[in-house]
Amino acid sequence: MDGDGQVTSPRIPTILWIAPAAGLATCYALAPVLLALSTGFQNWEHPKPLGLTQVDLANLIWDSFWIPCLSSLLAIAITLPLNLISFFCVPFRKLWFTVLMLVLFTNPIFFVFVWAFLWPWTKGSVAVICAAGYILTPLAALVTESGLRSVPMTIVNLSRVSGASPANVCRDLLIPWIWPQFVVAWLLGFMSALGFFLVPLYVGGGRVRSATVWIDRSLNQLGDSEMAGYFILIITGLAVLGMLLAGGIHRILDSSTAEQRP
Amino acid sequence: MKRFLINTAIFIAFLFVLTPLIGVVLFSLSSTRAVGFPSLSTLSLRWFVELMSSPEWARALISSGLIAIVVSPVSVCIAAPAAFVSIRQRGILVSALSSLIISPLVIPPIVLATGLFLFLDRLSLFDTFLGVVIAHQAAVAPVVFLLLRSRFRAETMFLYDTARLLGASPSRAATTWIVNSHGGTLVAAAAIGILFSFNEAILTIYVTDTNVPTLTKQAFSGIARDITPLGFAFLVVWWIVLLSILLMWVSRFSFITQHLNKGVTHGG
Repeated sequence: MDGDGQVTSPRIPTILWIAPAAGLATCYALAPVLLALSTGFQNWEHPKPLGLTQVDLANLIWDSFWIPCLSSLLAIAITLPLNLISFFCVPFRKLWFTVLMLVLFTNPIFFVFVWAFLWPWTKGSVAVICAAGYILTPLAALVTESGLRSVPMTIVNLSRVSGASPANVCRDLLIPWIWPQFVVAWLLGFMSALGFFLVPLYVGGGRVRSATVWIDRSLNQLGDSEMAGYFILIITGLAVLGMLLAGGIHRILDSSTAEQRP
Repeated sequence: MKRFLINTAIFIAFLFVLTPLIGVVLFSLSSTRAVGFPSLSTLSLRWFVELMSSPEWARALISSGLIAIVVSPVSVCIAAPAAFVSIRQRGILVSALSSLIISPLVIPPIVLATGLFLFLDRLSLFDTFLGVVIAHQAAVAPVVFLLLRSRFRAETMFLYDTARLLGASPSRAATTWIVNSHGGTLVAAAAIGILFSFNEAILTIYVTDTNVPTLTKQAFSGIARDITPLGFAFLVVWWIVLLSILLMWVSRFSFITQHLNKGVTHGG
């Protein structure tokens, strides 16, 4: 009670309100790395050989890199025309976003099997890129859409009234306006695709090398937590680097294009 | 010619997105045990009937529901204050902590799942209800945080500032601002949290064995192990539920908008 007879609550600095969520996330984010360190890497001076030749390892890292790269590009290539049409055509917009919601709220594992059953003859990198690109579609669409939402409709309407066709508006106004979003969508898609392991496992049919498949294999088949630990560190490092790059590039591009925007 | 090429590209893009969805519906309507396209003679609702009458699926539904009911409100309780602080306070510490909160979304699920598996195994929580709740929290809390943050950012802080000027403590003013001004947002975030929890599979597969069934894990087992269309039938039911929620949401939203517009027109 204070002097006026009012009940006062203890003063807790509001910045502490973020602590539980941050603490929880830290536990989740650090648990894999710490456990990989504690279970596997006890002999830092003489690390256990991974059981892979240098060529195998180089191929593995290369495949883990370029397949997510192309998958993410494919997702953007698919969503861009559909997002641009939905920008001009409201009925199509409703249909497109309903489909997107279905894909977004469906666990990707289902689509992995759908791809495997729909085109059973397609195994290998191309099938993995298509399947991963499909799974990344909602992410790419939502990021691009957030860019389209920031375009002032006054400028679009002025262009249309001045006689510009929708194709011209897309080419000369919308695409230049939202290209920072493309870079962010590509990076986010790349990071997500880095973590896919059911796609290379089932759609790739064992022909596609991937670090995530090696994590699963080394834990569940070989019982080798040290090998899993190496791959966990590599993938986590790449993902964190990707996140920092995405944030940084978005800020730089956004500020540079903001100056050029009309 | 140019127009034809553009239209063809758009058609192919839309077909690319739609084909797997149509494939799932067709697979689920096949009466054969193997997954494949049905012919007219093998078209049936056999897997839907089996889905509705299976006690295993009923158990999985109850289990998933209980997990989601625990996970979602806890996520909202943790994420709402954090989202408030992340938009209200500035500085490197707050932005670093905000990035940390969404880090479970950035880390590949298999890495997170492996870590959780080893962690829960050490605590003897592997294949337990509490273990799955802890695992789902990792997937749901960052999503709820992002949703609430974007919503809070779009709103004015006028009420909060007024309450502070009138002498309310920061925590009291913030609690009132969050609960009173954003009750609907909190409920919506909790609903989306429930959907995400229902939909989570990879973490569940890694941290459970047979004791805690969930819907998506059951569907995954059905497709991956037994290779029957039962999982696809579940997916079609899931989509019907999703579409119903979406329709209800849209109609409720348009009803409110109409109501407000009518109020504005009548008022003046």
